[in-house]
Amino acid sequence: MKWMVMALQAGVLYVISLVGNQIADWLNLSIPGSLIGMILLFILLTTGILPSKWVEMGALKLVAFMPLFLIPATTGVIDYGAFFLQEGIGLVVVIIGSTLMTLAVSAFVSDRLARKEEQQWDGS
Amino acid sequence: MGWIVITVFVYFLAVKINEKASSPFTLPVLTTTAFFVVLFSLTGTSHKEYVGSGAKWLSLFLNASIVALAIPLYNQRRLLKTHFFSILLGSCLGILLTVLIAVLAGKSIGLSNSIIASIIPQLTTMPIALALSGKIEGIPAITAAFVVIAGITGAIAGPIIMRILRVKSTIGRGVGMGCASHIIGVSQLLKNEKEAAAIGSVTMIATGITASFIIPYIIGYFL
Repeated sequence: MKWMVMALQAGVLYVISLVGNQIADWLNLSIPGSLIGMILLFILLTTGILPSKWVEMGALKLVAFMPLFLIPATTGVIDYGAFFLQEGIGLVVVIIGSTLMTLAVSAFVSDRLARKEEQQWDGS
Repeated sequence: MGWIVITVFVYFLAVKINEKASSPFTLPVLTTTAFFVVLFSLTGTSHKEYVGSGAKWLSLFLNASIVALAIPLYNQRRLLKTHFFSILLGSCLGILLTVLIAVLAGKSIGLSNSIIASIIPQLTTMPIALALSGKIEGIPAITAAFVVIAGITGAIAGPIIMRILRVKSTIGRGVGMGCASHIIGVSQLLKNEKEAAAIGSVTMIATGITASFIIPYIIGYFL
């Protein structure tokens, strides 16, 4: 019974993702349809149109199994073996470098912003 | 059909291994992918055959599971509301920086536009990165590898960088890891900074959304 409910809820989410694709198509958006579906679901939840318990169990199950659904895509890396051998080192340096910079800047800025907010609270 | 059974079996085994020895290098998505890359090479199976013979059914769940990310975001809506500005500013800066570095560094070492487009989604969580990569004419399979490298880099070096920069607030730590290193970085916080990890997962989803809304529209100016 529990599995049937979850499967049904996953089905609802799938339909929402299709609606997202359709909206992206209609409005000629370059945003992935599933992201529009996600925003749509978030709006349905916050406005109370869709109670979260109607989809929550199935949604959390899908999120938990997400890595499994990624395998067909990630294994595609095998087709690019030669490319990675050729360009690998330069690419890895770029990825590592941009990750470190991104992390440093986003952490630093939000940290100092948070401190400032705290000081304002203390001051008032 | 055989491949789908093998995939599910290997995945569950990988989850067990990760439970026993948790590290950024034992993430199920990484170990399972590595297993299949070796298996394909040994058996001479092409990726096309693998996907065509049933594995594609697994990808069908991917779009639904991206939509499902609205639930953890909704459950943490108070956190999102309280720190909305910090999270949004952190992820927007992170996204712009990633785009700039990918374009500048990529062009200077002579990478093609499609490879640069494959680098850019690296900071978002894997399912979103794959969808985004496809949208901006990148190669999703290559993006997948970059997402893993970005995640592991942040998980290992993130705590060190934040110590040097004296980032001590839970907000700063969560936003930094969630923005640059998605779930792999956030799992690292989960070990002894639960609060920062919660901010990290909200930031991760927020970064995925912001990136998907911004990048397709600005990339044309760079590539």
